[in-house]
Amino acid sequence: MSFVNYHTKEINCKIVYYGPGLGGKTTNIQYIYQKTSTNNKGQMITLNTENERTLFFDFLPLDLGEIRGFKTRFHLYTVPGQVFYEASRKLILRGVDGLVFVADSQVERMEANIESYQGLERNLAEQGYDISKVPMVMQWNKRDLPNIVPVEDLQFQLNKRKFPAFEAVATNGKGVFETLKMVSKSVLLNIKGGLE
Amino acid sequence: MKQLNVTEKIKLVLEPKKSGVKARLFVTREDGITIYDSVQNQTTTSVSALVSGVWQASEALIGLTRPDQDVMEFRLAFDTSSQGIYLFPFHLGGKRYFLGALYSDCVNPGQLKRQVSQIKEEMDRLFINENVQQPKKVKTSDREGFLFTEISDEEIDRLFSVGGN
Repeated sequence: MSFVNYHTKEINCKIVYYGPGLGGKTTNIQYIYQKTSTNNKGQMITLNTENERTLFFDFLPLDLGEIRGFKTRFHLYTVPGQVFYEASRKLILRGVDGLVFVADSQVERMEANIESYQGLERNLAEQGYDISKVPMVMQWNKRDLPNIVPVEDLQFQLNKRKFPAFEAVATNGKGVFETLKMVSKSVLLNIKGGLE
Repeated sequence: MKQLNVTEKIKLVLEPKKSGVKARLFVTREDGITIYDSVQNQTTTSVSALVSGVWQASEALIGLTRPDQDVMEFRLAFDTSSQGIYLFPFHLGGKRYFLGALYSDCVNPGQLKRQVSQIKEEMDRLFINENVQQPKKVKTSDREGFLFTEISDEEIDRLFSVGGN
């Protein structure tokens, strides 16, 4: 849940990158980390397994500038994508303000994408979220690889709710900031206000 | 007397005590938002995120053995004889927070733990009947209930331009 401190005029938001294993969630965060100046980022935390797979979460705090006089701080998290880390994914979704679903565009990963998306719907519902009301952006990652699913098919299979979607190649940064900007905007527009 | 918000109330309790406690003292909200940190630096938000994660994971572990257990009174310690971390939950305004102490090169960790535990007890006493300042209604947006009416793409670009991308 976002935290707006009207006294210090600060907004804190939690954005979670969700999706199947090896889909590129951590690569997104790493690219953002590399391209963000030192003054605007905190320490990146990664809790990995021995073979560099996400074990619990990656975390990157971003201190951005001001918007309408409010200093904005985004906390980016990734969930572990591997199927057996369901409990961790549920924990990390707590208090989420916005979601990026990173889908792997390769044909052979379509089933994993669908399974992960269904898991997301289930986990959000379990925690009392209505998925249609959570700001969300879809990212079709790995568009540079051969044997990829056409975007229309990804839209049909995974994006029936018509969330904003971006094609991406997270390894070279294509679509990474576009995705982040879109989810950030949706999150900021979704913050409840009117109180001081 | 001026009404204080959560952050100010907690700061009022901890600021006078921080010099007497040989540890980094911090308070974090359940979802990993920093409320107070006696050492403000680049690791502040990371500490809060990790504290939230470790607490949630520990609760989930306990839930595996005793799903019906009330976990409100748990504490968490991860320590050696000279360094470690202690976490104590407390409540304010119906929300749960964690008071933490992160320390190293400590000669008497037992004494430190006692000190932090006493601060937690003091906060419990102070906040037991305390309601957080009731928010005042202010007009912030024409869109009913939301902080911002509209944000342009240019504003978002400006926001991210400081990031150097």
